[in-house]
Amino acid sequence: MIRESVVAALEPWVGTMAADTCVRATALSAGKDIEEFGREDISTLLGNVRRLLAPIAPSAAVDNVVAQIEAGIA
Amino acid sequence: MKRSVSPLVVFVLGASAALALAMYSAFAPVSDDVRAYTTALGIAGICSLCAVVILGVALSFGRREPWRRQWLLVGAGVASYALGQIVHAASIALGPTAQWLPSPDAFVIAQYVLLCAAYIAVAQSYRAITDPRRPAIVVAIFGAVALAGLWFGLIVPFVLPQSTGVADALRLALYPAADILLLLVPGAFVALLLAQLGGARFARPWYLVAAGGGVLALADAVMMWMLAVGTYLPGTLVDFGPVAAELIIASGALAAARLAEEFMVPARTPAAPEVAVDAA
Repeated sequence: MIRESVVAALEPWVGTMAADTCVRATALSAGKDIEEFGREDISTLLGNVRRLLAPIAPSAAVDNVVAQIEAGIA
Repeated sequence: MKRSVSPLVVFVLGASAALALAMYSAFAPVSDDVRAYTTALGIAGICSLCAVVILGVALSFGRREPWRRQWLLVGAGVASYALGQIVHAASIALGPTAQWLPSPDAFVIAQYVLLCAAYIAVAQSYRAITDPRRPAIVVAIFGAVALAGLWFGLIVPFVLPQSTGVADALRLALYPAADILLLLVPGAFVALLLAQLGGARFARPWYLVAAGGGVLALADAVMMWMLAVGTYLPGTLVDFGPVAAELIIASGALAAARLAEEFMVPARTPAAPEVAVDAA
């Protein structure tokens, strides 16, 4: 659910591959399988999303996409 | 991000101006000098407009925004080209007394260097989410083939026999070599790198910049070929290839501005107080 929501929010902006890799890499860095990814990992995930988008998008866009993800998984 | 203009508006205005000038230059019964001067002046005007648009977009991003630095490089490049055209127009107008003016070629080559720097900056910003290996191999092969084509197709049959010395040959070969090494190879690399992301919207403006660089290189190649075979005439339609390239690049900047505008939060207006209509 969380994975689908994050990928859906990121996909239009960075493509499916990068969006999916972002979630997988966050899960991997937390030592978890993608299925075990939970709400306790969301802050780490949002940090990674910011790091992913910061070099390639205006800061307002980064804030907006992060807010969209937060709203999607709330 | 402070403001935005429709890319379509700039395209329509710029393309209309370019077309009108092209028609005038191609068909008006004027001398070759007048034709060359009006063309250079018109190109300088259109490219200056493009430079102002791109620099305006770049400066509308915050100081720490990566897009600001990247679009500033692109804008500085287009401004350099516009400056070169102004110098070219001035040298035509002043005639033999214009020896003190710098060479317009220096400004044009400066654009190539600045565009190349912008391509490198964009490629660096995407390094975390793309794999550069395959694009690097493809553009390396493409660059090698293009350089071989340049050597055997232009330099050996035309440049070397016509040049008066090594310096002259280097000057004649400078443009096509710069086209390949500073525009085509890095531009194709960026396009292939971003293609890995599918239709990622943040990447789309850079496709237009890469396409603009490609058109610029293609226009140069056509012009160099015409020069080599002796069919080039200053002030004719072939001079407008670079103008099309600058318009495509400017539309990329405007597409970026439009994209950034989507994330602007509209200012909230205070809600009107409710009035009890039937209080009486």
